[in-house]
Amino acid sequence: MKLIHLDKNYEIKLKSKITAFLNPDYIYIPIKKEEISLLKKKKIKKGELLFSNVYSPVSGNIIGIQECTLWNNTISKCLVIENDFKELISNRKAVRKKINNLSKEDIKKDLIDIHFNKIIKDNHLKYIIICGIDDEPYIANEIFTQKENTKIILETIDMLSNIYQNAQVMIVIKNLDGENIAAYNNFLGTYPNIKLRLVEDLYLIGEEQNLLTRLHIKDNYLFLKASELFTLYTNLKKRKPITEKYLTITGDAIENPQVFNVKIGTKIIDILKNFYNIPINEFDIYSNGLMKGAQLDIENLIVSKELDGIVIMKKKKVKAQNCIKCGKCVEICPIGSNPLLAYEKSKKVKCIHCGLCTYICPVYINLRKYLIGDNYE
Amino acid sequence: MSRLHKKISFSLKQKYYLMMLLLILYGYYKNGFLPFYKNYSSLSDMIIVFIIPILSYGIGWIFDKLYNNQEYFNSRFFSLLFSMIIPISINILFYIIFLNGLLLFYNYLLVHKKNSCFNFIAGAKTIIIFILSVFKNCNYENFLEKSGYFKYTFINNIMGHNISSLFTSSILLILIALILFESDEYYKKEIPLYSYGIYLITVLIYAFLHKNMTFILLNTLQSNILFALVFVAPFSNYSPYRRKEKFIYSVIIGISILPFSLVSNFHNGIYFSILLANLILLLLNFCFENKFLKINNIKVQGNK
Repeated sequence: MKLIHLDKNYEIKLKSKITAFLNPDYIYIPIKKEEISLLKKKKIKKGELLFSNVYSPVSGNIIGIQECTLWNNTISKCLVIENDFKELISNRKAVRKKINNLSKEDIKKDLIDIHFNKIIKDNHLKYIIICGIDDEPYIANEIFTQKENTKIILETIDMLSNIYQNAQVMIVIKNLDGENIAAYNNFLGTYPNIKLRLVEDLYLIGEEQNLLTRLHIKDNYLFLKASELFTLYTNLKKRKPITEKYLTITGDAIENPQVFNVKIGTKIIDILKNFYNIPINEFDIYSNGLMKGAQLDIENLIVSKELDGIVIMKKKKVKAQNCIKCGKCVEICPIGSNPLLAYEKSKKVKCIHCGLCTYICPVYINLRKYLIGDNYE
Repeated sequence: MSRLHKKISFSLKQKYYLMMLLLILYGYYKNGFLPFYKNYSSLSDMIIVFIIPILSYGIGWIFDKLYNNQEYFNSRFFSLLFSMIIPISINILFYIIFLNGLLLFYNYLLVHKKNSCFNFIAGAKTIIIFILSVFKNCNYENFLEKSGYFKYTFINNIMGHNISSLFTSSILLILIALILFESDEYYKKEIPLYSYGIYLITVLIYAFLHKNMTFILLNTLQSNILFALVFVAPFSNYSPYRRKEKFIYSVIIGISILPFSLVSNFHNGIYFSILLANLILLLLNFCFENKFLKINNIKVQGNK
């Protein structure tokens, strides 16, 4: 797979510190029809199990159900919780263990619990790869996860390497990520078993298969993103459910792009009202970045586990023209598909939704729209 | 590009326009000013040479306005490019009528989205050659060249003094254009390189078989052939975009230039070759319904 360097707008710079927005007035939790009848309580506590694997991010009162937009532009019914700002925590009976006393079984259970679907063959694990790369331009959740939690990440990696003693452990980050390189170099002396590997700034290099190819690793590995590792730490050590996440709000239309720590279920519009006084209708807004993301209306958009960022861009004056058959989209497609078949003949073609065909098109045709369908964009 | 809001600072179209402008200026000098200066042509003959590109661009502009043409390569661009490859002997009135008909047809195809059939420029050039040949008026020599007063040398050829279409005489400028276009990622750079390479081989073989080494010197750097290979053959809309197709297209052009040029002449042969390559590819695609040239199916990677 041929990877390319994306030409970005380097004037879009993120604020160096994370901003917390953990006190929204309302929280919106997507709910299925059959789950509505199961809810009998009106008052709930923070961390309380609402339904399968969904925990309340705040304490407060359930006040009703409302339709909200999810990250992929689908509409879903959502449970509305009014925050009482008391942060009352539910009593969980789990016993906290010291991180160094954890066993392989604990880790396996947690890895499965948090849906990583990673297969760990105990005796054959040769490599533990921690990927701290954000592929999507302008989104920096992985970078900030590492920057804010360097010690925790190293401690968790060390724990993993103690358990899987034969495995070679490496953290992989981009060579442009200067702050994290410096942060890791400060601590890596304490952890001689952890290696830091730097890779070029190429689009899609953070994808599991691409990174493994670059590192010449074929099998017997455990691949975790830095954010997944942090979730593993929170699960294993603190024994508390994930109710918060990092969210990048960026783009050339806003003055102060930054990464936020927000409650899952917060409405994006609430964050924007608090931090950016902008007329949102005048801009193009994308969820999860410009390459892989979707353009959507954020009036009812909520923060979910899958939402990594919001990119707010000035409206473009360019208009898509007819295809000039330059063939760049065919040439650049990392899996060798032909997006023009979807565009011209409405044929179904294989697509990994990387967005490179749209990126490269000189006449501004949104080829992803033809590849994915109208639902997504 | 589009979504990352990257601006294409110097697009392929602008590069085309720049090089076309330079070639037109040189054409003005060689086919307009020089014969007049040396008293081989009248003032009106010089003015006609001057107004042809301006008139073509103007007609193209009117068609763009009429049809609200927002294409990347619009009628203006086509008519200007077409004005460069017409023979010098053409009657201006006939040219205007022909150009209007051509643009009418082009915009009709565009409106009905049938503009991907064959190389439009090469097709138009072929038709005009046939019409002019019927009237025995297909002549590429200007008044100076007609006089037979002097013969061009190999160096003259390179520097731009050679018998060619109206504004395609400067080989040096065409080579500069090739270098400029090659630097553009949207230019189908393989097509001129492969085609010219194969053409060169056929010329060498022909020269060795006929033991005529001057044939190599005379025909390796033919401005009309070079212009068509650099400007017309790899033209985005009408040339293949897949690697295998591009290769087949280039090979057909490269092989057929010499036979066509020997049958007609070295000014026209290349356009027949381009048309032939286009038609063969269309036929192949039609017969095999894209199966023959389909790119390899690669397994979807990324999600294990």
